[in-house]
Amino acid sequence: MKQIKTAWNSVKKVLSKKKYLIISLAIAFIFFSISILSKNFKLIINLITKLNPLEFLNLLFGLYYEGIARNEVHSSIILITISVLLGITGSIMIFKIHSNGKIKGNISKTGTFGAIMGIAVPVCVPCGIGILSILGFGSVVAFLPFQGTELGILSIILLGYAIITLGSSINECPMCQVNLAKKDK
Amino acid sequence: MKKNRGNKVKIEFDEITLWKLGTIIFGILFVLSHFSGNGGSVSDDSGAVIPSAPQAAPQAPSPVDVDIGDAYVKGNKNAKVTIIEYSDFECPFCARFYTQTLGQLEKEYIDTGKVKLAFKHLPLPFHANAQKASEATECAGEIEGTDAFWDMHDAIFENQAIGIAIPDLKRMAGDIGIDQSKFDSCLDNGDFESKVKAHAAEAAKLGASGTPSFFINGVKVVGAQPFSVFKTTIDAALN
Repeated sequence: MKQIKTAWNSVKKVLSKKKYLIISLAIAFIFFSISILSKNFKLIINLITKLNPLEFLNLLFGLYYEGIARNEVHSSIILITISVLLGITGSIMIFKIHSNGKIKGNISKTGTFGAIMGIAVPVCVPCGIGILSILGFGSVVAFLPFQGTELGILSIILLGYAIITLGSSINECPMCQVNLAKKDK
Repeated sequence: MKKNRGNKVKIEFDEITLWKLGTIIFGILFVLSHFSGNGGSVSDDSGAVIPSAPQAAPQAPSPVDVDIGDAYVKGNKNAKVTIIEYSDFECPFCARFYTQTLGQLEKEYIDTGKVKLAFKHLPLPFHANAQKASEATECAGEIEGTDAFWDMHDAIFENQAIGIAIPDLKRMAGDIGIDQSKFDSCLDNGDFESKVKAHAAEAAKLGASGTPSFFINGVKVVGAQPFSVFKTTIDAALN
C-alpha cells in the first residue's frame, strides 16, 4: 500500500507539470487513435486527397464514434483504460530518463510488454480492433474463454504494475559502485 | 559490446537494448501490416479465384477488385457504386448495421439507383448458428427467388436476439411463405454449405478482418460504421 501511495503521489507530481501532462495525453490519444482507426487505415488514406478538410473531419468523427459508441461497452472501457495507462507510463518513463538518465531494465520491460499487449490485443474480435485482428489472428484469440478480453485485462495489470514500480522509484538516483579493493597506486 | 578474442569477434547486447530493438521492430511490423499484400482477387470465367500479385509496400493502397460473383444483389445492377458486404448473421454489429444504417442507405442511395448492394457470407467460427443462418438465406433465394433471400436476411437479423438456431430458421421460412419441405431439405442437406464457405475464404484473402466488412468500389470499410461514413465514401466514389 505504501508503494502504491508513493507511486500515486509521484504520478500526480509528474502530471502536474504541463509538459508531461501533454506528453501523457498525446501518447494516450495516439494509441487510442491507432487502435480505433487502424482497421480502416486504407479507407482514410484513400479518401484523404478526395475530401475537403471538413468532410475529412466528418469521416474521422464517424470512425471515432463507431470505435467508441458502437462497440461492446467492456471493449470500449478496456481500450480507453489501456490508452490512459499507456500515456501515464510513457510520461513517467520520459520524466525518469530526463531526470535520472535511465530506467531499470525490468520496469522498461514490463512497460513495453504491457504496451505490446495493449496494441496487439483484439479488444473487439468481430469488429477487428487490435493488431492481432488485422493480422488475421482475431479468430484464434476469439476461442479464449472471454474472446480476448482477458488479454486486455492482463495488459491493464502489466501497465498498472509498471506505473507503480516507476512511480515508487522515481526519486531513486543511479549510483556507481565504488570498488574499494582496487586503488590506484 | 564488441570484443576481439584472437580471430573471433564476440558481439554482446544488454537486455535493455534487446527490448528496445524488439519494440522498434514490432512498431515497424505494425505499420507495415497496414500495407501487407492482401491484394484483391479476380475470378475467371470458371469461377476459380486468381490471386493478384502481392502489392509492393509501402505505397498508397489502391482499391481492391472484388467480384460480385454469385452474391444476391439489391438495387440497380448498373449502379455506379457497388457495395459488397461480408456479414455474419450472428454478429451483433452486423445486426446493428442492418437496424441503424441499411434503411438510410436504401432510401438515399440504393432506391435512387446510385448504389447496388451485394451480400456475401462471412460466418465467424465462434458463432455456432451463423453458418446455418447463411445457408438458410441461400436456400430461401434458391427456392423462391431474390426477394425471398432478402426477406430471410431481414427476418434473421430481426430475430437475432431471440434465436436463430435451425428450428428458428425453419419457422422463419414458414412465416415468410417459403415452401417448407423444400427449405427444410435444403437446410438439412447443407446444399449451400460450400457456397457460404467459399465466400468466407474469399473474405479472408481480401483481408476482411472483422464483421461487417464492406468493399465500396473496392475500398475496404470495416465495422458497423454510422451512415455518415458510408455517405462520405459513396459520395467520393460517385464524384
